[in-house]
Amino acid sequence: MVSFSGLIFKMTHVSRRRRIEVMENHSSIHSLYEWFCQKDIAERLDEKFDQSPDSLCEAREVFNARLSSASVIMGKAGLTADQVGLLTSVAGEIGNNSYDHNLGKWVDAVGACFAWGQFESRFWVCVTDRGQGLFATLKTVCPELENSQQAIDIAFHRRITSRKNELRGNGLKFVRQVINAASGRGLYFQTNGAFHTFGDLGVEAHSELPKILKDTQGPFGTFALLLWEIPINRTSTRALP
Amino acid sequence: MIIKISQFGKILVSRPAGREAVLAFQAYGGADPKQQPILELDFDGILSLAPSWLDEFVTGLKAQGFEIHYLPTTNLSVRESIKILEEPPEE
Repeated sequence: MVSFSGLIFKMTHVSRRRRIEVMENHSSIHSLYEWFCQKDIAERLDEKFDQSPDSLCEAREVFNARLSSASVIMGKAGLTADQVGLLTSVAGEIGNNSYDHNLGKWVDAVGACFAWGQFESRFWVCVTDRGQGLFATLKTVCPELENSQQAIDIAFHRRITSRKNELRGNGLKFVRQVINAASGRGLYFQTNGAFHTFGDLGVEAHSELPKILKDTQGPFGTFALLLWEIPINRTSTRALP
Repeated sequence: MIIKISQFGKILVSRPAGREAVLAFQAYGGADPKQQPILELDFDGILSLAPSWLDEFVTGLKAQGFEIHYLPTTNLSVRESIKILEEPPEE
């Protein structure tokens, strides 16, 4: 029989563990966003700043292997098989875009950072790179483009690609359609200084990010934060491995 | 002829992987478009499919002269990928 004081201790211990889990997840997201936003990674002297985070996938094959691992964790976190399939395909499209459009043209760090986690009833996935960004790549086929905001609008709504001799260009349109197809999904997408949110959790995804000082001359590349709601009867109280 | 797409993997998301899959099928698939012009894609066992992979695979098969049919599936990532692939091209 558990005593009343023992029950209070247990509840306090669990809620403290949950708060730590939430803080660690938020600091991971914050670290990734800060990594993306830095003007010059190599010149950052702050000891706490991780210039080569563990989540950096220098090659596409590494990213795709980690994507398989992430899909297993999604299932353990309580997402249904359909949700795992959709979230994996969306993350896969965004991540593979990093390599499709930046091979040989990375600004400094080679590859994309790919990380994931869970807090409360949300599963989050983050993909970010320090590549050319949408504006620089799409400008080669759309000379009339004036800024990164227009680049985002075109990339997510039209079948278009900067790899003009190839039949492709529907990946981000697919991402938008999947995110908007149902509630409980959200995407914050930023390229250089412009951003867009999608889905009913898009604004919440944006709210997870720290405010970065505007005098930073970065960011380069793209930053994507996906949020997916875990069905209520499947939310686990265990911390993820 | 039926192609079991799960033979190429359970998570199919990248264009290079789609291209490689169609090259492998060309070498070992044993199908001749003149004898068996119709290929039916069976998505049973797939966990996740992205339109980039499917685009490369289907486009490669069509370039060889095959006609592609999709067998019914309940997998949402497959259905969404087929839907976006089948959208008419923009003007």
